[in-house]
Amino acid sequence: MQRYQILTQNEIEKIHETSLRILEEVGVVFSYAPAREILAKGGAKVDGQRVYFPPAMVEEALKKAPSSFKLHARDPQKDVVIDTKTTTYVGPYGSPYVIDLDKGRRESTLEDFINITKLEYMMDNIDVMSHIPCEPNDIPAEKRAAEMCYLTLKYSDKPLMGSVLGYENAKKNIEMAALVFGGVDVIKEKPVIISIPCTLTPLSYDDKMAGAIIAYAEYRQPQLINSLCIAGATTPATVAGTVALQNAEILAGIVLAQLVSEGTPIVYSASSSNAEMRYGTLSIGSPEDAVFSLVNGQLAKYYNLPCRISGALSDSKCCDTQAAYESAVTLTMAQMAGGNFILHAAGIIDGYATTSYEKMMIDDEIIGMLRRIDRGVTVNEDTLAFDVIKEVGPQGEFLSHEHTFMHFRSEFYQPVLSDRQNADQWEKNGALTAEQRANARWKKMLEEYVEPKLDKDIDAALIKLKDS
Amino acid sequence: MATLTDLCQSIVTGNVAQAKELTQALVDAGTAPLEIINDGLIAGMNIVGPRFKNGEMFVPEVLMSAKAMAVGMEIVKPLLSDTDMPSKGTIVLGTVKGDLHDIGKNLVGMMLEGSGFKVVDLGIDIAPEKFVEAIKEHNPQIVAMSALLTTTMPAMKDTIDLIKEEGLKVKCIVGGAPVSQGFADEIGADGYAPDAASAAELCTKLVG
Ligand code: B1M
Repeated sequence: MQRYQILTQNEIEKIHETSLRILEEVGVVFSYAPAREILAKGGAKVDGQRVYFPPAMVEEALKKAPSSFKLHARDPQKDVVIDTKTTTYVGPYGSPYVIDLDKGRRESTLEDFINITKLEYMMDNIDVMSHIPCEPNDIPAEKRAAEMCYLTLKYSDKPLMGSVLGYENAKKNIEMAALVFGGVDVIKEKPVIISIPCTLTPLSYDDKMAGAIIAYAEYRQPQLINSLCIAGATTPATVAGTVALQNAEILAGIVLAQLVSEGTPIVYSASSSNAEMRYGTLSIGSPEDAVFSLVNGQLAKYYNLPCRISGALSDSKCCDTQAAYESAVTLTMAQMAGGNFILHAAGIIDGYATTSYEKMMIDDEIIGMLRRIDRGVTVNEDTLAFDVIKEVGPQGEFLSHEHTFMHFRSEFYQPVLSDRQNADQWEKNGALTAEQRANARWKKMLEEYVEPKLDKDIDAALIKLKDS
Repeated sequence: MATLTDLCQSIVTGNVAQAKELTQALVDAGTAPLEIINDGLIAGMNIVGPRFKNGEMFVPEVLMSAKAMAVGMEIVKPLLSDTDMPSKGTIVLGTVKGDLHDIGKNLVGMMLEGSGFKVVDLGIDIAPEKFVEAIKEHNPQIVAMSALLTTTMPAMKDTIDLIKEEGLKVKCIVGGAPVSQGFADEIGADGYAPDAASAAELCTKLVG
């Protein structure tokens, strides 16, 4: 639920109008010819690779995308509704490195991919599997998309994300997911795989991403049309200017998806942040990142679309205090902003380049705390507890009262990692820091992991399709 | 009266209009072009470099200083013969095949120009053959490659291999977030730089 509005409605409208002007007067480059053809047929003006969008065409497309859809899981109990009110938390995405307390930072491998996939599955706070929780660098690049999709389906029965590396990879991932749910015809009315095609900022889409948008739309599978701008580098240094440009990029992608298939589910997805001008690098643990989240949340609501915001973000190079405070601030703001699909909600450090095993656990705790905050307060006769207060009276105690017994579990969040014992107990139990406890916790989770059942024939068919 | 100190100062503050005006004034007053370059324009950049390194100046400020210097250079250049023109050398730069990330590469390019190199920026998604073609055309001392994806890092090796196969005499350097000194050594590159400022230092060392 959106709890924080940083701009007025009038300011949001000004951003929207500027985005429309950018789309109409500056245009967006689509290098992928099939995308240009679709857009031209839909009413856009095409000049070379550059596509110019009349405002009416954009407004029309925006009306067609639904504001709510259900993403189906292998285990129906884990189906997720993605709308403009609830919050879905998703794991880390895309990191080529991993780090843990035992082995330090290293290029991630298939083993790490499987481990973090299992952790995502084990963590109650993670609702959707993130497709690339880290890159399995030891798998040949051309086989990776299908391999990751298969392994995610095998090791988890939660809903999943899929590949965006071009039309063909996307199509194969969709067909693999469809296999589990009864075929491609069934999934057209029943979304089972969600993706994140990304703009090539500023103001362009490359072949792969435009191809992925078309593929997911053809099968009517949901997609997060995403823009990651770096304010001061790929876009203006001003928040307003960056948002106007970023919004134009996203709207262009939404138009393409809706032209391919009207009503195909979209998540408005923005993850812009600012450049660290000391080095010219991207900064994601910054207060500006949080400001962008708040604006993006409002824009998505303005369009009545579900909204993706990231995440538990940090620029720190390991799972330390900086990682924790940056993540707490950015994730809190993502939720306050009304984020409905929070990607990178756990594990990310190093400006998206590294996934930390321990930070998966730290962020699990932050998500738990935020979920509690989001639940808010129930006010009724029972919770106001006048009778109980009267009964206990002055100088009494509530700890042993039945009312406490009945309510404490639902009212209080039970930490999974934080230490709240007294100092003596803490010392007796080894005087472990949060990082050390996190290290123990992920190892325990991996030990306790049990693979969810997958029908033998489906498994065989999946392997066949994967290797085809 | 315009002085070389004023010109140097206008480079440090990144005042492009003033740098242009002062350079022209100095030329009109008969100051030797090489003196304008060395004691005005480059002297300014020599102050900017260390200030950037120790965190007093930020990237956009450095880039504006570089722009101010370039504007001055444009005025002085026609007054010098090619051989008198101080240039550290030519660098061919590009993001390797399959990779579209260009922010880091652009930054490297700007820093290299700022420190006195001529930079030929080929752009993104550059195949090994394209690098080779550009080397033949521009005769650079150095080829600088950028990659941001672990999946495109092998294209760096392919490019270096092809350059060697063609027997071209040029130093190859690599960089980008996932690239490391170890990887650079492994694929037979002549150098690796972790950031744009060190890339400029590395190139200066390699041509020196
Ligand atoms: C010798 O010459 C030299 C010397 C030094 C050199 C040098 C050359 N080149 C660089 N340096 C050095 O100097 C520079 C300045 O000091 C530094 O340059 P950098 O480039 O490191 O720093 C820049 C100044 C700022 N940094 C950046 O610009 C990169 C930031 C991150 C977040 C990033 C961005 C911004 C983008 N991305 Co991309 N992206 C990520 C990046 C994560 C990260 N933290 O690195 C990374 C690299 N991307 C990734 C991915 C997965 C992808 N990206 C993609 C797309 C994009 C955007 C278009 C959205 C955008 C690029 C915009 C643009 N115009 O360049 C896709 C691929 C596109 C493609 N084919 O290339 C896509 C596949 C994502 C998708 N689903 O769409 C991940 C890599 C995975 C892997 N296997 O390696 C990633 C780690 C993020 C993540 N967690 O997903 C140094 O490295």
